Amino acid sequence: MYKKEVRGELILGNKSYGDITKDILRHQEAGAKTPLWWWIAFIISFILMSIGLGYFVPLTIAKGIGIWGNNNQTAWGWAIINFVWWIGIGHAGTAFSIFLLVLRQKWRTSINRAAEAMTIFAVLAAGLFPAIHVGRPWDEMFIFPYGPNSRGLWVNWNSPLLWDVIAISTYLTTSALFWYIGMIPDFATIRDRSKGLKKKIFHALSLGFVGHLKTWRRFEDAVIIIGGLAAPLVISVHSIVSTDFSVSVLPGWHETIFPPFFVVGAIFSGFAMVLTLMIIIRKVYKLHEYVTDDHLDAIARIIMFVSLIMGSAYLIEEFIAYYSASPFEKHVFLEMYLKGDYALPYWGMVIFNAFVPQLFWFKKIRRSLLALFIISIIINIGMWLERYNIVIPPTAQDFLPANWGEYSPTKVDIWIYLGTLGLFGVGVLLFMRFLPIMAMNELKQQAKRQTSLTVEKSVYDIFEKKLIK
Amino acid sequence: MKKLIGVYDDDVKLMEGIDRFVDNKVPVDDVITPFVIEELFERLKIHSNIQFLGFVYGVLALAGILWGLYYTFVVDYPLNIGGKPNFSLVFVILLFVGMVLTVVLLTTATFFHQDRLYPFKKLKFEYPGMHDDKMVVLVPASYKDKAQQIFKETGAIDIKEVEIED
Repeated sequence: MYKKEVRGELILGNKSYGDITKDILRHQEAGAKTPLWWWIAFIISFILMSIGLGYFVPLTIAKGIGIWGNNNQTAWGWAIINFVWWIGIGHAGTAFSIFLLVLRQKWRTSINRAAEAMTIFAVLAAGLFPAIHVGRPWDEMFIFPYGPNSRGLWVNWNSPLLWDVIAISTYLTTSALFWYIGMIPDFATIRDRSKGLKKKIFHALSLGFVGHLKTWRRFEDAVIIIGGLAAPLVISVHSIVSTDFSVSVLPGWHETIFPPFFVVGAIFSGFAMVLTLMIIIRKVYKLHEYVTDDHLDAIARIIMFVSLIMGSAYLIEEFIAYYSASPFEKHVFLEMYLKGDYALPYWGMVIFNAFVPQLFWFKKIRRSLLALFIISIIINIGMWLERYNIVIPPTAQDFLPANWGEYSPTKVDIWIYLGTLGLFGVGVLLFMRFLPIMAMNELKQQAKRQTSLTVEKSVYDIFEKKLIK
Repeated sequence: MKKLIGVYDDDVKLMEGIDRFVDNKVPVDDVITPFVIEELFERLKIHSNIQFLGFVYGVLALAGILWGLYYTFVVDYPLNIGGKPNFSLVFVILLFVGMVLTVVLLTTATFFHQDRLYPFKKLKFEYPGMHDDKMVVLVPASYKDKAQQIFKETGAIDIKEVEIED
């Protein structure tokens, strides 16, 4: 027994420790030229960010959210769709990094750093939407329990909106600290190898880190504690986001399936974004020896599995609506979604999220960079449509047909969304240019211990060799 | 303080050397490595109390937050809804999230404090490549002869005596 290697080598090309440092830092060491594609992508992202966040956000604050598409029926419009979408993307970075850390999956090492970076910028983008959606951002201090406010009341601890604020700020803090602490040893590596101003900056960032025995021991313990706590936090944060919806009595929102549905959806969209990002990083920095075909294959298989859960969730929602025999539930799920006004986004969501990822059953598709990239983008669009279906239709057509209305975003809505895409782009590009894009110290740890999981005959084998024949 | 350093470029050789030091009862003051080598912790019996402290922070945080919720809900501003105090199970979520935030911040602070990590800290010891591909073993200079022999036999690429401030 235990003779067959399930997973191939984690780092190809028989790299020495020195090679790993050189490969990961190649693009940012002295003498390396900033490539043209970086400037183009950065300028586009920066322009989007400047217009969206630099002009339309202040405009919203100055004029009020009346300039958005929100109306009496649909009080939570485009902004909350994007909030939930960004939070979902922001979840997978940490989910990816930490679940695989807790499960001792060593193949995470070449991907976790970029995934965590993605998390930070996605959560920043997400946090913007509720902040401006309240309409009067200057009154936001009342959400903090600093003492009885002007009305002599404490904050309402029973409100999911308050949990949301606490949970998301905790999540941002935890993810940012986890990301930063993980980078400290790599900052020390850069500090040792650079000169002048860059050395000073990285000296400050590395906090004088030296890899003493005791330091490493404490580092390991601190990382596992923060990681171990962040793993359930990932689940709780998106569950709390889902309770924003599910505690209301609106048909289409009032569902007990929402917390697991949202958490799985977040992991789904986040993994897709990790895939998009890793394909880009692998391609532009020529890091195919670190992000191997096996890595991408593994992510694709996780996405395929999660997609099955998503598909089941969609089916269960439909079934429960039918089984409840409530005319309002049936209207949302069996009329509006399946064949009514919102059939296009609904079927788009089902096809993009539940059917397209099933292509990953085929090894050829899992091994094709182009196919992986296209499918990862399709999933992100599908997940955006899912949030659209959750936020818009139930509010647009609720209990009283006399109240029914329509929703369409204005150009301000669209520009703010583009602005957050720009913010995400600027953040990720700065990260790719100036910080270590892979956890060098963790890669070095794996360089010689290539595979830990070996079994005689795996399910994988049976599928790949026997069933397909 | 005078130390003898031996530098390795291979962790297998390093572990051989460490085994020899332990077997020959030569004290190893420190090993500076570019990445975590967990076998070293076992062999040299290196422990940290961060996990225990993390647990203590968690217990204290839970108690503190529970008290805070009780104070706001029951003592300072009791709301009676239908004759019952408004103190429901929501505190589970706030307890959990608040506990995570407290433990994460305090654990990070403990890690930084125990290792005296702060911006622009002056480095007491530097060896080229010690965060790249070299592993540096430090032993007290008083064990020079024995240590030098072990370093040579296990394939250290550089052996020298250095002065390190305390």
